[in-house]
Amino acid sequence: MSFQAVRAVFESPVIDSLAALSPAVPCFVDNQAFTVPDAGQEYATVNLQFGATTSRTLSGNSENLRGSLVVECFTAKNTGPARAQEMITPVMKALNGLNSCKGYEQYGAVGWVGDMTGPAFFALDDQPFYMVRLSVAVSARYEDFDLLSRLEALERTHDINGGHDSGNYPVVRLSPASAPLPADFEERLQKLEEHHDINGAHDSGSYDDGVRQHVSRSNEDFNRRLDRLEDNHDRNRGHESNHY
Amino acid sequence: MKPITAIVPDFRDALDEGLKEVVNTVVVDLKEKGPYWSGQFESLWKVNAGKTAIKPLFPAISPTPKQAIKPREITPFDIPESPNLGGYRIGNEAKYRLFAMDLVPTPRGRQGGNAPNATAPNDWFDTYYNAVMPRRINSELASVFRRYK
Repeated sequence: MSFQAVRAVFESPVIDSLAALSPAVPCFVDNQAFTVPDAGQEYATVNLQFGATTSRTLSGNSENLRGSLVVECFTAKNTGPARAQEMITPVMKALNGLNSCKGYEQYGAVGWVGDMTGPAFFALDDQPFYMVRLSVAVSARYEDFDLLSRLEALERTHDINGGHDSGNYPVVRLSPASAPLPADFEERLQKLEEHHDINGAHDSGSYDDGVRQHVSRSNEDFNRRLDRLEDNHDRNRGHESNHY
Repeated sequence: MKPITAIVPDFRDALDEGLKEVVNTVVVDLKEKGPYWSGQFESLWKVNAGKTAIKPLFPAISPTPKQAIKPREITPFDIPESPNLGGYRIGNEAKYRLFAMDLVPTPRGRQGGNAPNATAPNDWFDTYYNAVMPRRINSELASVFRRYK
């Protein structure tokens, strides 16, 4: 569970779409101090609140983040609704775009938007602003890539099947999941690959030579590489070790 | 096993009962989660049968003295009969309901939930409506239908 990653999934598209307007509209998130601008100066606020975060299942509570995203844009009063509509339209488009699972690789979280209420337009009585308000039901899931766990499980299986202890592969801790992988991880994976080949008396191949020449790379590359190593390990041993 | 002719009346009864239980749950939730100062806003949640709108009738008690803060107490409310599964409409009769529900910002009063003495988090209504109410409705209806065998 990472509320920060989930916030980024929902707030970033709103902030970016408002910043892309001409003129750009400053956007303030929850608990961010700001002075309400003078009349005529546009601004927006975005507030993400969580309502229910888990669902009960037979084996315990599983994460199921559900919440509410409220976007409020303020523009000059007594100038018609056009500018407010211009402000909220790209926000709605950006939020709808989330349903294509954007943000997963960037933030480690994936979010979906549900029913949208609004946009509702108000001319505020006691403030010199015309406001448009959008309320959206949101749900999200955070997935820890957790490559380390997968590698540790593979190492254990490798040792058990080989009837030996290959020793300590350099230990690294991956945090946060979306950060570039450190050099030790590359070294550790390479050592495991070599031992796998020696024990199996075969060459399982390069596991992507091109990728290996660089130390920092995306989690996706490592995932692919680890997948292949796991597959080969299973095929060579004639069993299914999976569940890494 | 029941004959098939008994299923439709059972289904209607279950829906009728389910609707009432859902309305009861939602109104109690709104009373519990909404702002509570003098108790006026809490007491003005109302249920109408069918599609009759709830009109804003009652102005705020103004100015609200500090000593008027009371411990939250859930006041009783009526759920009228809704013939032919006509549904219900839930609303608040306070004239200031849009401010209290954080649907319109105001620099006065609870200030969208940002006032130091706010008694409900900001956007409390949206959070409930978007993220809690759908699940409450599902679970209440499911529990009612489980009783019919």
